[in-house]
Amino acid sequence: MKQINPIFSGIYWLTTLALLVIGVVMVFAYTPTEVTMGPVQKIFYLHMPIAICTFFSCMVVFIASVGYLWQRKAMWDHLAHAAAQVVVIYAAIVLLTGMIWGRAAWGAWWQWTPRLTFSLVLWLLYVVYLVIRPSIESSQRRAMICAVYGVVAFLDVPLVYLSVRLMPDIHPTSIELEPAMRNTLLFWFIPVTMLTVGLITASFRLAKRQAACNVIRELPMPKSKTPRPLGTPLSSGNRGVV
Amino acid sequence: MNSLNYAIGAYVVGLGLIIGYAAWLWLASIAVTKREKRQSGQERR
Repeated sequence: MKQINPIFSGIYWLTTLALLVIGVVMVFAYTPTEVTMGPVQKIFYLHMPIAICTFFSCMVVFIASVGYLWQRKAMWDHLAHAAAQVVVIYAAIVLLTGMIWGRAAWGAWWQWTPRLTFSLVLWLLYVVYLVIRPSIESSQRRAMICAVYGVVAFLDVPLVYLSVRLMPDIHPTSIELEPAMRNTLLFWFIPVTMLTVGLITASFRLAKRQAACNVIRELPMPKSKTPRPLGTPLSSGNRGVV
Repeated sequence: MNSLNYAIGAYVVGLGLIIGYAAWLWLASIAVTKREKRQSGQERR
């Protein structure tokens, strides 16, 4: 497997970390406080870029699943698995930050509105994706089932996006932002996008290496020189029976 | 609770989950490296 240059990798992660720290400083020191909601609105600069990158990761799962169904290459399955992990983490962040914001703004941790419900369903769909994977032993069968599931699970993404526009919901559709607020929001897209690409890449490479190790482990063992147990018939029908 | 505390709490939770996942990936990567070394040693033998 082709190795990523560790110097490049180190620079990439350090830059991402530095941009995240700058982003946090911008949120709490540079960006003005919103008049109606107060300081709790500052959650928006994390909540929205992570939500957009959740959709991006869902798209990666979808494309990789279609890729597997088309080409039947294990690489696509590893990519879908990696992106699904990121979806679960990111969707959890979107739900938790949204709940904290909701507690401060609406006085309740949770409301069963279309946007929130479809977001919860999205998180659950990808949690199930990760849960069913280890339960299927055959790698080809697992990849096939997960690819079909990955395509079907993606159907929830347009529902999450459109629910707030098509159905009555307390979740805001758009927020008016001052120039300083807009700059902070745009800035946050840089580290979050870098983080998403970095995490999917790292997880993808790990999945490939783990699969390579498992292939070696599953290779047939050389013929043992231990004597055949007494009473075992000489017929070839018993070969390989455990 | 102060509204600012909610905002700080949200950043702690969000960035904490990301850092936790990145740390898990890193540890898993170390474990795979060890396994690869062990397997390559077995193959040589």
